[in-house]
Amino acid sequence: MAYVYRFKELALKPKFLLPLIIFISLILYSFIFPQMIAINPGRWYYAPPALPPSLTYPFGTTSMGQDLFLLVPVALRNTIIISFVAALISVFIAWAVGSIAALSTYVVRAILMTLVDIICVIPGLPLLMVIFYTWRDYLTIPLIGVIMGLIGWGFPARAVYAILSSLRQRTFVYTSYFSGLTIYKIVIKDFIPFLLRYLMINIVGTMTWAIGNEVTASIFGAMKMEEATIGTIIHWAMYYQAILLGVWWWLAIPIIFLVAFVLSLYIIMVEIDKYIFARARVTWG
Amino acid sequence: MGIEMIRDILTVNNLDGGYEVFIGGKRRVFVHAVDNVSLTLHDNEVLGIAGESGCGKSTLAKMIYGAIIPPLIVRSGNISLSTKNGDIVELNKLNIDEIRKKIWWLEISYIPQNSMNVLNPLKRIKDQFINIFKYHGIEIDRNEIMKYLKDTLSILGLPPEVINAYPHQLSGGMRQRVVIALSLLFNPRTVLADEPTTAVDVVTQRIILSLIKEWRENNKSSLILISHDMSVHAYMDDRVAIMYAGNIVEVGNTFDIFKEPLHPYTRALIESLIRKGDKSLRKGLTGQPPDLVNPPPGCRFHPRCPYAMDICRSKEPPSISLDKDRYVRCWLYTNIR
Amino acid sequence: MSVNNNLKVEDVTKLYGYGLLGLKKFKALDNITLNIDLEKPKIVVLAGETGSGKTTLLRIIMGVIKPEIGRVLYKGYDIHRLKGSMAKWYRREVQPIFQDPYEAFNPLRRIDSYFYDTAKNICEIRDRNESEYRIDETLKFVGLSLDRISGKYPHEFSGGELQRISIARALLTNPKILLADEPVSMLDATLRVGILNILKNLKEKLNMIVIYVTHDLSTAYYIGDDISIMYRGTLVEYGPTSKVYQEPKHPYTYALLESILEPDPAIRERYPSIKPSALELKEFLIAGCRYANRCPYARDICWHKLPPFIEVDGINVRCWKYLNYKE
Repeated sequence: MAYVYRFKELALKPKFLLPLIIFISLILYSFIFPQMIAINPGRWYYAPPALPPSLTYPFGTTSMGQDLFLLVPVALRNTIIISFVAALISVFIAWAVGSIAALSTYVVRAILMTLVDIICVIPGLPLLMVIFYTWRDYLTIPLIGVIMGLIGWGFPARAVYAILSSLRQRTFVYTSYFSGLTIYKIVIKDFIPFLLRYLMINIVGTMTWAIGNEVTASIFGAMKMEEATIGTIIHWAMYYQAILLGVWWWLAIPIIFLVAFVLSLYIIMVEIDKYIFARARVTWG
Repeated sequence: MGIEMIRDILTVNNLDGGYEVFIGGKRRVFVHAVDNVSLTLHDNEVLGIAGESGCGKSTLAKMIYGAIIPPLIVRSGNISLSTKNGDIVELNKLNIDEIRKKIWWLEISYIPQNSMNVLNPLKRIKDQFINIFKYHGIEIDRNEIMKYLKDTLSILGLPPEVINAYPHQLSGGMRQRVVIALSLLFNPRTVLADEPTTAVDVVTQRIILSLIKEWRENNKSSLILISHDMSVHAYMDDRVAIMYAGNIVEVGNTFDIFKEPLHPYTRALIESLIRKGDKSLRKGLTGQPPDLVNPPPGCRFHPRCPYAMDICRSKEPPSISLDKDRYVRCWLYTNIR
Repeated sequence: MSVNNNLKVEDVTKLYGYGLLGLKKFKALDNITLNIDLEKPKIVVLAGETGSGKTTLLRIIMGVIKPEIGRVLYKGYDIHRLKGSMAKWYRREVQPIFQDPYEAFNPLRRIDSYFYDTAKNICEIRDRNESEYRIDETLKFVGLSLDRISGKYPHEFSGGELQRISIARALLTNPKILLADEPVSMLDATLRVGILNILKNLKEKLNMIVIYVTHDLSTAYYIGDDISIMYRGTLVEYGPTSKVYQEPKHPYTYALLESILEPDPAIRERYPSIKPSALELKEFLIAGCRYANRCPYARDICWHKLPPFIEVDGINVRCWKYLNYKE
């Protein structure tokens, strides 16, 4: 007999609740709170420079006179938007290409998988840096995400192809066929649930990948530096020798928020996945 | 002259244990797969452990073999093995590395259900043999090994190309024969075969079983044969133990068990067997084996037993000894004692 | 009796690739011919070891694999050429059950969804109440009920129950033929009998034909009326089960029957010795009788040409011995 994992158990688990609360708070902080600010926190010298955290300035200020308490949410919002857009685009292309490759004829499959392999092999970060640096004047936050998405769909496409190829051969596909389902319905009813799990996890994974690329590119200055992102804050902090000058909060605060966001998102996804797919696990007996 | 001393190679005393499993995070659950099991393996005999899936026989096999690695734990009891040089070793107290080095392959060998659990998919067959020799620190000339291999493999009915082949190039039956050759390399006194023929077909099964039989008779070693297939037990065993839901419910001489099964479960098992040339309607059992996480109170078979009495539902029956090496664990036999 | 009321497998040959790039071909099935009269309910056994091609043949009859040569005719229609509503019609007439009941269902889907799908798509029952009634009736035939399976997932059932559920789903369409691919090999001994008795009932009470694929000859004997023995892709012998078991004609059938272990310790000394098999692919590539390497009666012609069928004492056998080794 199997152990049945109920939804209430998931919802009340501290391992799930805590990251969920953190995640929701971060979303509110980065998306709702900035709407309430009158000024553009990215501008320079609207606050006394290099002040440590205090009651008036909870997260301190930067050497360029920016209030971190107002700046970090905007930066986090932009980073989230970039990575989310990148994830959506990448996952969509991976899903489309991988599915078509797995479900079609030998020739189409060979062509598509060669394309996928080429995309996999392209060195992502250097290419991104070159693109961002060259066209920085035309970039907008969402566009940065789109460009990243167009470059990073290689490995997810391979995974989708592998998942669907193996699913095709499973016995339950025959049972569905003999239940009268058309191929289209079989894909929706039998394959999508498995695929959805992978795609969900992949969205989080790609977001993390995109954030990593964004931060790295920004640190090197290959980004639209006027926009506030976590990466650009770090860039400026390092450029202006924050650690040496003792302005540690300039570096620490954005990093803490970034880690909190990625970690809470990841743990939530893992717990949801465990819940949904507990029933697919074979138990003893 | 001629007092026959039946030496016991292996004694299992009140062995109790199972798997500790964590599900979905914190929840801890204990699968009580082996419940107070006692068995003895005599010298030069074949002891069968019969039972259906989920009865705990594979877990018992792992414990007897000494492969007690978490989540498998032994809660109480012991397993005593008598070694070639006369020592008595308690397997459940030894460190796993010691067991690996000194016990496995040398004193007691294991033939698994799936040959790929033993064979390295990346090495040719001849290299697997050479590695085993090396691991036990035996320096042996390569040419000698090749000659030994060619002889052994032809006895097993395998063509000479097998020596240079990789495991995936051989069929399941051939791989199983290679694994048997490996396990008998150092002439262990005890061999544990865990469903050795379940994954192969009828003809290969016969070949494998006759090979094991012949080897055992020549070497005077003992064999513990675990299988859910009663025909295999009828062919191979001297004595057989019937296992249900973690308990040994009956032990006896093979002829007695088949001709006069005592425990109601054994009876149902024997009655469901299909014999050649017999088309008469057979009876099975209704229901299914209990959940080993929450087994029923008292005798674990009582929900499916046609003879269940009140005491069966509340108290676990003791093991009644009816004769030398003949035991039943059933309340029906308590007055006979 | 109408001329075409049968299932006819005509000279079916299936090729699979091997070697580099899969360019070389070997015959997984060679020239299989089988004729089953649909008017007489019976259980036909396809028996053979692993690698004999029995599952491949069953999949071809199911319609999910296409043979390179030959065809399968059902009531006169070539099943691989059926389209649209005719293809659906075939799925109403012929239904499968599989070896591993846990693999036969998607672990992420509810069991009852399969029933409602079958009722709606193949039986074409639109009314919800009527489907529920029909589903419940069918489940009762295998000893279960709709209440017991409602809302549950595959892993919540035991192997025996799940196999019964498979049978019930297949019976929903009132098929003429049930294709059973080793349905009891994954079940315990005490549970096997229950399923086998259900299959017997299908023949006796529902007048169905069951094509039962197995490598276990004891269960084959228990329920089979006719038996076909397969070896490495060729059909070597077929006839009524009792005749074949009592007096097997083909040397392979003889060896196979001799290898069956009986659950009777008293006869253990009486088993004769047996010659083991060689590398599989080698045997598949023999142009003639695939059993030639292991056969004690093999002569030159056996390696070069596949013998035609000849009837001996009511059994059809493919062996040069009975043709005096001459064409």
